[in-house]
Amino acid sequence: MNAVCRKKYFNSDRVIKITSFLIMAVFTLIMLVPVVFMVLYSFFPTADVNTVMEGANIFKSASLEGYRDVFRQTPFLKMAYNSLWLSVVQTLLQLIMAFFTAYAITRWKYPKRDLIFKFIIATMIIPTVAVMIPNYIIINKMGLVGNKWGVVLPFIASGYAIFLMRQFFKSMPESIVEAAMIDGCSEFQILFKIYLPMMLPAIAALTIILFVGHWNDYQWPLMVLSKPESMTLPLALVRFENEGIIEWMPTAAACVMTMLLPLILFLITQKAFVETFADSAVKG
Amino acid sequence: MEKVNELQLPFNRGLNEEETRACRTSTVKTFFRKFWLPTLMLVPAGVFYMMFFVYPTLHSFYLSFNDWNILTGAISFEGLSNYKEVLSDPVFHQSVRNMIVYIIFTTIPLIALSLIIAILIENCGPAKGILRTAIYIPVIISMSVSGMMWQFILSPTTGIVNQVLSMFGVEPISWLTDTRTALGVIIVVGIWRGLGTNVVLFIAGLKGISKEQLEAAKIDGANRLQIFRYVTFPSISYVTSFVTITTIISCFQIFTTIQVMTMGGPNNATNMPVFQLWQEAFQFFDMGRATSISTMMFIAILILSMIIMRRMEKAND
Repeated sequence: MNAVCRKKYFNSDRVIKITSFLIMAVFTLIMLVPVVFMVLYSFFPTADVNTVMEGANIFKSASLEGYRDVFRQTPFLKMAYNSLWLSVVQTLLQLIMAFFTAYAITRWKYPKRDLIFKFIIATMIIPTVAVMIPNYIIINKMGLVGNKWGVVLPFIASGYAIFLMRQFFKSMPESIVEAAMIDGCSEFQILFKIYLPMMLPAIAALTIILFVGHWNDYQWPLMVLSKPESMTLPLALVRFENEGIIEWMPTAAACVMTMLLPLILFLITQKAFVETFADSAVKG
Repeated sequence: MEKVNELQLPFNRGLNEEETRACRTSTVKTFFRKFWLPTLMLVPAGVFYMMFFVYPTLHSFYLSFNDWNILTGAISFEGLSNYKEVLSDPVFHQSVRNMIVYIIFTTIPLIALSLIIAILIENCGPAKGILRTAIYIPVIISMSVSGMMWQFILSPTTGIVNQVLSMFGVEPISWLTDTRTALGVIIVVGIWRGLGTNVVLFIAGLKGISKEQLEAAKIDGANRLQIFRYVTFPSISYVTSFVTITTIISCFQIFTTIQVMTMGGPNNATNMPVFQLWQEAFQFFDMGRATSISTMMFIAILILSMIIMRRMEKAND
C-alpha cells in the first residue's frame, strides 16, 4: 500500500502498522504466558513464583531439583526413546504409504478415482474415537497391547498425509513428465527420478509436521501403552502425583523437556512448516 | 463372434447386443490391464483401511447392539437397550449439553478472533513472521503438556491468574473445581490452541486477495470497513468455510484436554461424549454403552459434515 502523503512521518498507514504491531505483541505475550510460566515453574520452587512476579531474588532460588526428580521418579530416558521411536517409525511408514497411494490417485485417470479420494477425506472426518475402541480390540487379539507396534499399526494409512502428498503431486508440472514419457522412462523411473527429487522440500516439510504430530500424540498411545517403561513422554506427564497433590517442579520440568524437541524442530523449519500446511488447504 | 479387440468400444462398431455384452466383460479385464499399477499401489492402503477403519467401524456398530462382558467374554444380544440406557442417562445429557455449549462458544470466537488476528498480523510489516510463529506455538505443544500448563497457571494457590486477579482485589477462584468455571476453562484452552492453525490459514487466504481489486476499491473511495466487507471477506470465503468445518469437526474430538485437566469435571461439568465414551470403555468396561455412544457421534458428525459440505458446494457455485 503506497502512502498517499509522504511528507507526514505518522501517516495513517504507519499508525496502523504500529498499532497493529502493539496490539499483536501484547496479545502474543499473553498467549505465551502459560509456556513462559511453565518454564519458570520448572526452575523455581513454586512458593517463590510470587516473588518472581515482583522481580526480587530471581536467580537465588533457581534449582535443577525438578529436573533431577524427573529422572529419579520415572524412566525418563526410556520414555524419550519410546517417543522418538514411535515418531520416527510412524512418520516413515505413513510417508511411504502416502507417497504411493497419492501417486496412484493423481497420476492416472480411471473411473471411481475421485470416489476413492473422497473416501480418504471422509476417513479424516470420522472422529478417531469411533475407531479407537474396536482398533484396541483388534490390537488386543493380535497380542500387541503394550507393544509399540500396536501403536503404529492401525494408523499407517493416514488420510492427512495422503491428502498433502496428493496436493504435492498435483502441483508438479506436467510438461516434464510428458518429456520423460517421450524419452521412454518406465513408471517407476518417473516416480523416483522425476517426482521425488522435485517434491523433496515439500516432503521434508510434511515429515516435520508428521513427526511433531506423532511426538505429541496422546489418545491412542494412552490406550495401548500402560507400563511406564513403554510409555511416551506426553503420557508420562500426569504421573508426578503424590497422594493426589501434583508436584509442580518435576511436572514442569518434564513438560519443558517434552516440549523441547518439537519446538526446536518447528523454529528451525517455521516457514516451510507453516506454508506447506496452509497452502495445501487454501489451494485445495 | 469375432474376438473383441480390447481398445475398441461398442459405439465404434455398431455391435449387436451379444457382442456388446462381450465388450462389457472385457472392459473389466481392460481396466486391470491398463490400470494394474495404480491398483497395485492402492492395495496396501486399501488393506489397512479395511482392517483398521472399515471393519472396526462395523464391529463397533455390532458391539453397540450387544452386551459384552469383558471378564467372561460372553456376548449377548441386547438390541437397542444400550442406546436406550445411554439416551436416558443424565450424565449423557449433560455431556451433550456441554459439547453444544463448547462448540458454540469455541467455534464462533475462534473464527472471528483468528480472522482479526490474521488481518492485524498482515498489517504489521516486518514483524509478520515472528508473530505468526509465536501464535502457532501452542499448536506445537502436546495437548497433555498444554493441559498441565494451564493447570499450573490456574492453580488457586500459586497460579499466576489468581495472583493477577488478587492484585485487583478479586478473590482467588478455583477454576477447575468450580462447576461454573470449569467448562469455561476448557473453552479458553480450546481457543488458545486453535488460534495458531486458523490464523495461519487465514493469513494464507488473505495473501491470495487480488491486489487489483483492492486498488480499484480504494480508488473508488471505499473506507477500510467497506473494503473488508466487499473485497476481503468474499475473497476468503473458501478459507473461511474450510476453517469453519475443520474447527467444528475438531471440537467434536476434544479429549486430551479434558482427560488431563478435569477428568470429566466437577460433577460432569466438563464431560463430553468423546470423553464419556472413553470412560465407559476403559473405566467402566461397558463396551456396549461405549460403542453406542461412538455410533451416535459417528452418525451426528456424518450428518453435520454432509450438511456443511452441501452448503459449501452451493456457496462456491
